[in-house]
Amino acid sequence: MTDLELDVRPLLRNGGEPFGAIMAAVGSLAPGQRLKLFATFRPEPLLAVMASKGFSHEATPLDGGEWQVIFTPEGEDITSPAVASDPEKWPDPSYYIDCTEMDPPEPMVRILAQLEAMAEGEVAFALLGREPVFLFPELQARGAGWVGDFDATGENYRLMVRAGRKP
Amino acid sequence: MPMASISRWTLAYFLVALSCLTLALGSMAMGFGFPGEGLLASSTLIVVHLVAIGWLSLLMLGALLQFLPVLTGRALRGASLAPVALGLLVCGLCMLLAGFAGIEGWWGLSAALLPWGGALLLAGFGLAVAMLATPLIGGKALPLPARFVALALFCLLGAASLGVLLAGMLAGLLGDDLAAALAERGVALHAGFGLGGWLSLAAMGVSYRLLSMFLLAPERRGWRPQLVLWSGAAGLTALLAALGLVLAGGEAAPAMLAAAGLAAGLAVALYIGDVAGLYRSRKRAVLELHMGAALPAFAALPLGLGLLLWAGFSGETELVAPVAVYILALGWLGGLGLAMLYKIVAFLTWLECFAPLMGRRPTPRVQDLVREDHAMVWFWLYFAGVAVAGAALWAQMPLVFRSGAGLQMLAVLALIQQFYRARRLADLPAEWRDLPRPRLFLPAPIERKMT
Repeated sequence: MTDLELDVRPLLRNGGEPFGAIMAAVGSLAPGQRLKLFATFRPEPLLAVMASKGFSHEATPLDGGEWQVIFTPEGEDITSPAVASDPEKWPDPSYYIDCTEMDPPEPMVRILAQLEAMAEGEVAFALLGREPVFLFPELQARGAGWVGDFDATGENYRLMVRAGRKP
Repeated sequence: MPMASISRWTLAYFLVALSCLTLALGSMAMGFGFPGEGLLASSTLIVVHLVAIGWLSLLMLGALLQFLPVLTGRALRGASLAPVALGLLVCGLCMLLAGFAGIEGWWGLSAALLPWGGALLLAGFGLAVAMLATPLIGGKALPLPARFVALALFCLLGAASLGVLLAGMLAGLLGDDLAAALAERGVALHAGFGLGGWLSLAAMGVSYRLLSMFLLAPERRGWRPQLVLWSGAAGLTALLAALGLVLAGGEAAPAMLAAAGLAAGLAVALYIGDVAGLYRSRKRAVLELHMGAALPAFAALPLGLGLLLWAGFSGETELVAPVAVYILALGWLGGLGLAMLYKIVAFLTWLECFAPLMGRRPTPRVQDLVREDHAMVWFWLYFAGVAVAGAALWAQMPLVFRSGAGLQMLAVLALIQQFYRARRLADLPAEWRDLPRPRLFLPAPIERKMT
């Protein structure tokens, strides 16, 4: 597959802001397609943004202080709606909460407190003694995603919660 | 994914239920109904139905509307019909009570109201069962507590249908043979389906889950709770067969009633063993008040059923059966109901007020909404009142019975005040008391928007 090329050097030389054009290009990439970007400097802030969208980068200096950066899609964009709705694509949990010894509604309090402290896209794993049915409306109201089931013994409920965009 | 949100009309059910209980206890304290008057006197029928329908059935329906989705992990559909069912039940109950008064010709009322009251009640119960059946019907196997509830709802329809027939009998609408058969056996079967099949089975099923939840005890598994359910089902099948015989030929069926009694005895013995197991295996060292207050109620179940069986087998029904029914209705079912209400009211209030704040600012614990040290006295007084009234029925001391009922009424009024304080956030530490208070019993005007 050929790389999508985007040269923002003329825009930068005219004092323009290229971010919108770059994001439009990213949005138009076919699955697996790389983006080859030309800029008048090494675009550090963009590298971080693209990393969060699941792109690795390879930056090469050109003559005259200019740079070529090739962005390669590696993982999934953890902020995309497709990932939010597909738990298979969630990152590994960053937080573990054992609620099995808590009486209701303590598990709900702990999980929501954790959720509020998480950045968008982060995932927490909780182990509960029962299905937390009163928690789910609250997760929905806060834009979080969740997936859960009972383990094989039927004694513990496993819950993964993924933080959504903060309002 | 199953979701349980706050059932909007549950507290309205509870309010009507508590009002009926207060009214019934007040009537008994005033000497209205048994033992001052006959077991089948109008006044007794009024008090009994205030307790069985007004208090216990509305309490159970209100609780199931909230907690059946929790038991099943499935959504309840048609919850917006809950106020319609409540309206039908309240109108039906009022008409039924008016019909009972009409048997004596009080206040110019007529017994012809009875079948209408029965029909309205059947419609209300039918609508409630239709709503509550939605989380029960579906592909997956139901968890054990939900299977108890399913069987209980079936019995509710049976008790209500039989009630309509009895109402027709009292209004003089039935033929002589059927009326005579119903008069002899119908009342016992009606009570068996109502107090035993509907209320007791539902309370047993729900308590299996609530106890393990609030005591932090592993759920009871294996053959024992299954056998409780199957014994209960066998007892009800025997009752159903007895009813069939009564309706068909008017033959009394003592063998079937005995079989039903023995099956109920087995179910209760195993159930009490399970309850004791749950309390013993709990991880919470200190019992919360609602779990402590439930203990006398659990003790009342085998006591009441034991007395009932003894009455049945020894033929001492006239003296002992009313004592047994009193202990079962007001000690076991009523006591358990009051104890669970103490937690449920605080829990629902907490959920309504603090769920949106959780994780965003410190929130109180559910226990902070109540003052257990204040309420404990009233639970003691309530159960003392049940013991006094039950013993006085046995000893045929009507004045002592009335004072026992009066004690219970005082205790219930004081507990209602505790529920009121919980709803008003009145016992919360000062830092949270400035929050907007929830409505007392009507649903919140606007549901939270779900994004």
